[in-house]
Amino acid sequence: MSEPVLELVGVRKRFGAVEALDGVDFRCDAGSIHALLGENGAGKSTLMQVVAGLYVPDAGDMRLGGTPVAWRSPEEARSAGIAMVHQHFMLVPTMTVAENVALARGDRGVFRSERLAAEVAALASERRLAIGDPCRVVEELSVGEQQRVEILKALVAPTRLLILDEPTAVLTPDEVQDLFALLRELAAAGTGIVIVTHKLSEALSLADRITVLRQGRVVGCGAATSLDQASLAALMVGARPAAPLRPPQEPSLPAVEAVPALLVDRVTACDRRGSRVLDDVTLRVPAGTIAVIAGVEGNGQTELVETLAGVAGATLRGSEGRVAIGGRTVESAADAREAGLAVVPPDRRRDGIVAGLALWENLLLARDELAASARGGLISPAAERRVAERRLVAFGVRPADPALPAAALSGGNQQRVVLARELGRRHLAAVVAANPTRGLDLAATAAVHGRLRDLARAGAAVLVLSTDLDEVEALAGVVYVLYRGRLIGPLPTGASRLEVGKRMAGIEVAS
Amino acid sequence: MLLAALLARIGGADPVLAIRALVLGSVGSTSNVTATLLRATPLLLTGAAVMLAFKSGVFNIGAEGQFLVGALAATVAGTMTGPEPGRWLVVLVAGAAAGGLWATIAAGFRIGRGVNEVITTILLNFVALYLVSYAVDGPLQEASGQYPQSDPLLPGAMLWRPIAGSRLHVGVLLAVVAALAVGALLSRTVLGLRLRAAGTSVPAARLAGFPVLRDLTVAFALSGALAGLAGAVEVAGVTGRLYERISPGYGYTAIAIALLGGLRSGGVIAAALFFAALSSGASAMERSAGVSSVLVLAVQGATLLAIAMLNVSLLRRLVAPERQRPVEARDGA
Repeated sequence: MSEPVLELVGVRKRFGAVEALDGVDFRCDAGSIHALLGENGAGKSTLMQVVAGLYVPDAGDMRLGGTPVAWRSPEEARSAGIAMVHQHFMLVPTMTVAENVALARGDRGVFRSERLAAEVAALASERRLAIGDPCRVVEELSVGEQQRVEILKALVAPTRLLILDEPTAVLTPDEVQDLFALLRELAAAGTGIVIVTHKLSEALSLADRITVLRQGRVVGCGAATSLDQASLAALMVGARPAAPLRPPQEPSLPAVEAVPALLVDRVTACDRRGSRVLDDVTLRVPAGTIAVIAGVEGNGQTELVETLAGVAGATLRGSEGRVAIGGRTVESAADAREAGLAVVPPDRRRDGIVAGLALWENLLLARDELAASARGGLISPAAERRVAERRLVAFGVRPADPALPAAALSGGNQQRVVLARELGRRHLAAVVAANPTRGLDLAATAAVHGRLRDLARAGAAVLVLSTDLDEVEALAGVVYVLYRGRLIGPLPTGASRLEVGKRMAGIEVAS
Repeated sequence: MLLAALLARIGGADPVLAIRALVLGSVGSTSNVTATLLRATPLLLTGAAVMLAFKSGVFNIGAEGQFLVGALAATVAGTMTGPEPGRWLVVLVAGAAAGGLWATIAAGFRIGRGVNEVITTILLNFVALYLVSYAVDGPLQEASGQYPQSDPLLPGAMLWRPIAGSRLHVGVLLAVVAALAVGALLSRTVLGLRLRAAGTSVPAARLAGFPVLRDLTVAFALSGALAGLAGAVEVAGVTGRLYERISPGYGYTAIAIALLGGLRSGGVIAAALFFAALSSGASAMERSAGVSSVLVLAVQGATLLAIAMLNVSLLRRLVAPERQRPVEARDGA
């Protein structure tokens, strides 16, 4: 057994009424990869944020390489050699990739842009991280590209312990393998690695040891070779799994006779800098069916969702082509909402919720919902709160307090609020959902998939964009792949994961 | 308070006497209370204007200019020939309309050309200032041509003073009602929800199908109208005519008041009264204790700083709520 790089004993952390960490012990050895598994809200991110100096624990000891430590700031942790790649990126959106990396490196004084850019490009290719042109401004990068920049930032300074919080959500299967290879190299060179994830298969294939957290406590810990998916799932959910979350029971709608469809007709669009982000995309989703578009973030998903939602006029240039829902052409977000479209956007923090508003107000963030609830332009907060509470409970939002500001919820719960708003509506003609189960645990994911199927059965045209092949498989719809703005498909039924994965990476597959 | 005492001592006066004069001077007698209320009115109306704007994501730094054009329009309306009954209403409406239109200029620049309204509204303040200067020295100058001020408003233009012998006018009540109305608008109406959504996250509001550009324009216009109304109320309630220095910076103080009040109706009312009290107490302090009344500006500033320091997290939540994280208490438990 090698030297422990990190040891935690009895760590506790409380946020108001919530006991996020309840006496957690944890240990990671140098040169080994340790996976921290758990559902949403289990405390995994919180634990690692304590290690990285972002939170001060209420109680407990921490030792780095045998020496007791207590951080007062993330900078202290960083200089001691602890680097963290966060689930929600900590990049400065208005600065370039190179500048963000320079910040992480702690550069001081004047720097030369070209030299910095060249250095960053060299560093990136050395680490086999595809970040593109380092002179691009971060807010223009896709989510996947931003994540790779985050990883690069983490690796600029000597690192004894590298922590990654849900890193694979936005990577292709091939990139996941590349990342794993990179992590194994780092581990072999002596770095301790902790990967926080909810994906059992990845934990099993990558890690040497696995620790499972549930509701702030360690419920299991052992060598990866001695564990399997079934035992891990049982640990994560608990011996008596809580009844799976069920969305509210909708009265069954009469079978739809006409065929209102979701139509994307030869849509081409460019972003603000003129690069083409959507290339002659045509897609028809008949009513009552599910279509899934697989693809890594950054290949046009966001733009496609924006086009379907009717907001592309504000964010994209040179849009051609037509979008129609139920036969009605959509030219604005108001059109889309009125045509009966529900949208679950890919970037929930920016587009899905308004952090400063209360949950009940967030549930009204859709033109048609708002119109339905208001009488003569007036809203009754008390009545709305009651209605909101029911919906929040039905979609498993915790805490289900409608008066809380959305900013107080964890990422996964914020996602549930978006789902409660969008999928909890009646009379939907179409649903466009991008990574709807991102940040959700197994039970909630299953519930969302069930809800999407219900919506399809009730006659809606359901389109899901996903980066997760498990999800693509689970939804069992017609599969397409989006790569560099081009839509490939529909793929033949029974296309294997490998074939889909290859197309996601742009590799031509002989059909 | 401590700072006031300290400054008073430096100013060569007895601090205890100074503080007592300050307090008594603001609320110690009926006429002092009246003075405080009268000073609070323009602060409250402009404070409400700024509150509405900020909550909607509109950085209206132009309340000063909107106040001035409101006062200008009110004077024009109040000195024009026309029917006497209801003249005060025309005066108020003119003031509000002028303020609203003035603000819409900045809105146009933001929506049409993406120009940050902080720049346009501040610049428009100067334009308004010079417009008023020009008016009272030229076309609106009083008939006798003696001073750079307008003729007094015609009968029926002045706001009703319900209490005989007191300078209190209905504008005071109007200001309170307006402040409460802004709060109700924001929290209980469809428009208010849309404004607050757009105020924090334009992308989310857009995706929701809200008419973001239209709502922003409405926010500009309403905010400007309130500030313009403030100008009209000041002319029709207190001064009776227009002159150059009619606003000692109400529109700018309004920003402090709105922020101090936590961008909430109740808070803005309290903040406006507080600042007004300091102001009216200051003149008493000058008379009784020999301390320069300019001192009160220092006290106002110091109070704002002190409260701001105690409320850093509050301010952060107000100004950038979407970037909130669980706040860490790094000192103590």
